[in-house]
Amino acid sequence: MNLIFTSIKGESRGFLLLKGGLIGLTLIGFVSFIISYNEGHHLFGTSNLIPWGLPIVITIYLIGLSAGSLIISSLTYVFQRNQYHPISRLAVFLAIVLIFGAMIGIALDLGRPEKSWRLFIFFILNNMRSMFAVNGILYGGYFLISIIYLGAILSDKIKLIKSMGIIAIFWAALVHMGTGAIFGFIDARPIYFSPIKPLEFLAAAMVSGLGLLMLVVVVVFKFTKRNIDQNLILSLSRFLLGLVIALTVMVFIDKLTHLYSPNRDPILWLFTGSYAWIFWGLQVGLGYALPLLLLTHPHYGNSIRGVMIASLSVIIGIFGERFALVIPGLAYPLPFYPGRIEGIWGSEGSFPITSIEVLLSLGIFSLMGFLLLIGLKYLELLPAKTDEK
Amino acid sequence: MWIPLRPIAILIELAILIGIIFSIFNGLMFTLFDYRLDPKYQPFIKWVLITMGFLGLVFFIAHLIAFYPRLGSPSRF
Repeated sequence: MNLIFTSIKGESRGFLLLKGGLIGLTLIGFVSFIISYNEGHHLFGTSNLIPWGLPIVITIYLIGLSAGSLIISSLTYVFQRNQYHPISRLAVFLAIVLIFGAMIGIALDLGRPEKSWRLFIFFILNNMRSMFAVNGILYGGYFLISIIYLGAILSDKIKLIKSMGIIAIFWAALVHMGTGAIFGFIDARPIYFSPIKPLEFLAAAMVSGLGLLMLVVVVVFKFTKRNIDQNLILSLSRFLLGLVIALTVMVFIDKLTHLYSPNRDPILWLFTGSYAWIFWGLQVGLGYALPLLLLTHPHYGNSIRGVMIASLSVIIGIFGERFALVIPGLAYPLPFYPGRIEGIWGSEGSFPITSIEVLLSLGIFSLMGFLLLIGLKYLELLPAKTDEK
Repeated sequence: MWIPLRPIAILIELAILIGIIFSIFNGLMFTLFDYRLDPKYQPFIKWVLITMGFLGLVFFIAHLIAFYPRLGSPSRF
């Protein structure tokens, strides 16, 4: 652990332009929030049939990215794989930024963020048998644990780093399995309901978290003119390949179970209905098929460019997986009773993607980008260049 | 002459809230550094608190526009 870490200068034209652009997009997101707060959630694509929209999709996506990134950081601090040391600080910081973005997503989805304090009055205002209430403990604890973990890493307190690292891995795994349980335990929604969902979410978190971390590391190292150890990225890519295979197997088992007769209509609708292109194109195509092809290819699987395309594909694909779960899962009519149900409750819901929702989401991502830049500029997250003291 | 009292009142209230947020965050920062946090982290913590303050400010703008009582005029403003 003798590697020296530094911050970046952050004085280049590109850095300032990027910072300015992110601030601008964040401000647009803020204005969208003010409009949606005053006009109401009908500005989103949500409805009585589909009450969860993009903020929830983004929230569970970001929680996964964060948990995955934090688990990857443990390779160095818990499992003593020192080859990953150069990227481990960035992984922890990225995890904090992502969970912060996820919390903002939840606050936006509430519609009245001032009431979010009620989520944390455990056992008094909350029904603790609800997975939502349990997740309140997990998310709040995760945020605190990650900050203490980063504090210990920055101040080089070896014993604290190791103990916090162990707690952080388990907590991160619980956080994303808990998020999966929110969906997997909803018996009334046939597309959600699955005992494998917590494990599937954990695997997806690690896949997307690792994909994002690899992409951020390569981009940041390239733009700050640091040398990237190609072996480090390629060894992570093999790890990514294993995780994508594990995730694909879990999703296959999940969908195969749902295909078993007689209650197969919901999953057949997911495969062939109006959201099929998201499932097949984004989730299966970009999330599993393309990365598997690239990472097992003798040429692309051993080149940084090929691995980066696979990482980007995984990041977009897992977003598609979240979208293909949340929205179609709600859009499929609830099975109130056997037979055809007349009226809107018997027909599939539609979810138009509105400009306000898109701008809000862009605002969240831009705010996270801005915080990442601030972290890179003021915290020692990156290994020093060879000519740097 | 009709004076738009509501926006003026909202702006005054926002100014007071910004003052309160600024005081709380400054107090928090002083406390952190009094407890021997390395001063090299001061710019980072300052930026994080500015961001938090800005998030708070945006929320207060939205909240006051939505819920501030009507003053003197039947219209929204």
